[in-house]
Amino acid sequence: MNIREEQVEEMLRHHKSLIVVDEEFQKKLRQSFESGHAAINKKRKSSWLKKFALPAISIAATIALIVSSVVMQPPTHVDAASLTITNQLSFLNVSMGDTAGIAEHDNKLYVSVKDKGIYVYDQKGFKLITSEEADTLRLNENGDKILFSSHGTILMHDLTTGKTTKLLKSDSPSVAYTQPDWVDDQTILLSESQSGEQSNLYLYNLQTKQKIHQGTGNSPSFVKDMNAIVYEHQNQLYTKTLSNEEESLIDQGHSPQVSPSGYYVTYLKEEPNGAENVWIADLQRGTTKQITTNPMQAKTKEENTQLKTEPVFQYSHPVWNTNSDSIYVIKQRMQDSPEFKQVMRIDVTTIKMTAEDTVTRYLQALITRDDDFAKSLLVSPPDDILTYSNPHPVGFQITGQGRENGTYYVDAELYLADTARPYYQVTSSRYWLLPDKNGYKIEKIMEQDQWIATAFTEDGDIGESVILQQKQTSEKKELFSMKDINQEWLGDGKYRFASLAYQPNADKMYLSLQRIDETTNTSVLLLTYDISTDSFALVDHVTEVNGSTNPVVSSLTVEPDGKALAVDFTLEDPSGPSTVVYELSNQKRVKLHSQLTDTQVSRMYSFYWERGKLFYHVQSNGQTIMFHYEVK
Amino acid sequence: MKDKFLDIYDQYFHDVYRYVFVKTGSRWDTEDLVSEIFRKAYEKFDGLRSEVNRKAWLMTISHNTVIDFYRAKKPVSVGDGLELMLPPYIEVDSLQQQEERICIEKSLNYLDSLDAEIIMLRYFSEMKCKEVGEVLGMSEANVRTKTSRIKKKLSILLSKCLGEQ
Repeated sequence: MNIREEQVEEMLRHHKSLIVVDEEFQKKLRQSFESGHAAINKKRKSSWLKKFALPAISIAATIALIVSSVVMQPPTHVDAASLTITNQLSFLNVSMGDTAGIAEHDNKLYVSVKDKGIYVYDQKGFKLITSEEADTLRLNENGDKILFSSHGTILMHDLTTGKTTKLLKSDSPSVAYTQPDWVDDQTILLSESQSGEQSNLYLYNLQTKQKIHQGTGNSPSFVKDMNAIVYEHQNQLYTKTLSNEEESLIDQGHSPQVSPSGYYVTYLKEEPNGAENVWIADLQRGTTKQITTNPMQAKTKEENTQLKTEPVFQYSHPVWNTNSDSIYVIKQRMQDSPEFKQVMRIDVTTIKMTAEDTVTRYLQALITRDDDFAKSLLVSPPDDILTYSNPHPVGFQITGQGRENGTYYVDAELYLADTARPYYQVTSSRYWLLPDKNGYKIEKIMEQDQWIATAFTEDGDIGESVILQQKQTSEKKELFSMKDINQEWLGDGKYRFASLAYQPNADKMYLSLQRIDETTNTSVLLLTYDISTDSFALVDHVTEVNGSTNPVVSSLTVEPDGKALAVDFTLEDPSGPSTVVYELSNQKRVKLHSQLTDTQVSRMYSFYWERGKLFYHVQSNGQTIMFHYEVK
Repeated sequence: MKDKFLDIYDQYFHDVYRYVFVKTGSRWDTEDLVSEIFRKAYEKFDGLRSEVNRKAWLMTISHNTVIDFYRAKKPVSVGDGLELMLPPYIEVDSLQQQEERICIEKSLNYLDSLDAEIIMLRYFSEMKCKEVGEVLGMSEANVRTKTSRIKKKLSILLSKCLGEQ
């Protein structure tokens, strides 16, 4: 296709015309200048703008806090009902453990862990900030004070001074103060519960200690700019204007939290089948939208052989982020123990997923074992489980896209490895997609080729040579054997092939060789092998990691473009941090624990590669937390 | 003063809005920034000399406000602040339009920051070469020559991209 310069202009102008100007916003903003309101509010950029500019949202998936977010685009329509979301959700663990409450401020996630305290999670790590345990957490507008309740007492933790202050404590053991929310720096909302009675809502002045009764209910949440509260009473959500006490019903549900923008409330709502989901309601227009899915699953087999069902997940504590464009929620699999609660993030935007986005998110979901979400991206999802155990996915890469006979396709490679064993599989597939109201769904997946690199003998033992099989050509060739490796590197040591990886686009192998002599210390050789030139190169000879000798390699994976290797070592001191990234282009070696200045790392291991980033897990204080390292 | 300001508001709102949107890709950020831009303009409008080109003046405020926004958002240099991902568009119906959109995004992202800025001001904010020059501190002739070169570059990039689709 040959595009002339005139056509370039035409195309640019055409695409300009596709950017729809929000005329309601234009009108409201104009009115502010007509009234001179704009000048008065100039210091309150975010809030006053959003008061006028009620944006509508739809939900697109991005991956948790740890991932750079994509550009988000709320839609022109403002109704929550117009959100197009259910098949665009993605979840990812950011923490595991019995999580009691969460809150976000400026990309820092505050997590209350039962019996441990409140932690802050950001790119520096996962750090305990107070040992006080919280039921619910709320950050003030500046993000320097945490308001929370603990065992019936309202407390405030000052992040600047590190001090925790008791704000309100009951004199009676039967009365508990809970669920506080900020109104302003001097006033909070709270719920007072007395055993056997309905809970009451109060405004509480921190200076005068005066409580003003606001009615009966739970979970009060303040609506900025409207001088109103949202609360729950008998599984119904209401707004109540504080000035005139006018009330209106929002929806059925509980655990509401109003977005900092003041436009939306997120809450939990039970479906007729008993499954609870996260919803969003539009406070001004009264429309609602479900944003999670929660399928039913078999619970137990009864004597009469009838299946009892239960929801797969239990959601709790949905909260907004500072920008009102993400919701964090605690999610637990009903069949897991309470320690396996996960904190999830759902990003909200109008972005329609492209074909590439859809495949990317499908593969992410596959790797992060989110079957539910992965299946939602398929036109005809299978009944069985999609995700893997071993060999398990260690990365993916989109390799191309196009259109054939009017149908879009995306080509991608999925990489799988076997823990601590010399096995690596690359599967290249074409994903055919059909347009869907929210973007695309995957109609079918056609495997195009597959490469398997192993050092196994036919008996399944680890052998002396590395073999590469290609499915399409049915070719199986022995690339090299241990004796081909430079004797200078091996010395008099006895080695076996350990984890290895293959990069099809460069026709290169990446190898780890484990020294296994019984009489000497173990060590690990890391090598590359260029198949086209039949040449090896030494990456590293690892005799110790962080002072711990006798390293054993448990995993070696390669960044899909061969930019870096991630190597996990098991050490003599089993609690030692152990993942090392080798940046191959600049010969840089990065010990990942050194990236986490705020975290006491007890264990770490690499997870998967995506677009130049290594996602890895860290165990710290009983939590498993995900971080990423981006290769420069 | 108010009426004159509102005239400018009505006349250029769409140009400012689309410029900011194409730079941020986020409607929320766009609305925040557009409000900020017009607030700044409102405050400065009184002292504006009569000979100043209104549109170039307003777009200079827009240009600087977006740069400030990205400076505050992440630690990048000023030049980096211009290299922004283009947004998804809203009303994309046909597959052909989708292909074109993807290719335009890719091609614009391929341009260096100044070239992309020139194209955004020229075609998404409908500015004349002279006005673009005033915003970016370049001569009209320079903007004209550069625009022509960038269009050539874009025609190659778009041809290649659409040919591959």
